[in-house]
Amino acid sequence: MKKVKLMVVVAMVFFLIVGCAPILNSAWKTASEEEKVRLTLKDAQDQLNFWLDIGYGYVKLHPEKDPIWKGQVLPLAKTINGMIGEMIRESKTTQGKITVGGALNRLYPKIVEMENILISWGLQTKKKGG
Amino acid sequence: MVVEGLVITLGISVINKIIELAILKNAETGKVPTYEELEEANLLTDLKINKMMNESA
Repeated sequence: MKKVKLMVVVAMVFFLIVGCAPILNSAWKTASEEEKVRLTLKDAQDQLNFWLDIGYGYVKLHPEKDPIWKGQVLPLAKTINGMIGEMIRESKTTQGKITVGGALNRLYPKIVEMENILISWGLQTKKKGG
Repeated sequence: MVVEGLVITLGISVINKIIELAILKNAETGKVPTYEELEEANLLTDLKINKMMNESA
């Protein structure tokens, strides 16, 4: 009986993986370059919000970090958000001119700079999907 | 034995289909955002940053 149960579980997992793999891949694969840019900008916006939220929580618990928070992190966040906004407008008006690589090259050095400050405080991320 | 096998296979198929549909439904919520949604999220983040800037420790 145990063998049968094990076989059932193995079969379920196998068929589930086979059945779901195309679904999970389809969103990115079927998107056009312009849609991929939008997905990239959304991801950057989500990451920015994520780091802002955990940074804000940390500073509430550690007020001694407030000068760095307001002097470095928030101005950096403002810059990043401005860049994202600029790229949204740019992509909207010149559809197809911005590429995923171009958006990543412009945004991620700044996002990493902000992340590095927060990581140096000991903050870590377990955000799904990186 | 044959009937049991058929019942198990059918059961697996049904359960897998339900899980696939649940994943598909979830994947749909991660659809490509419109420019309006992106602009709204960007504006909300801007407001959030301003609020944080003006808050005292």
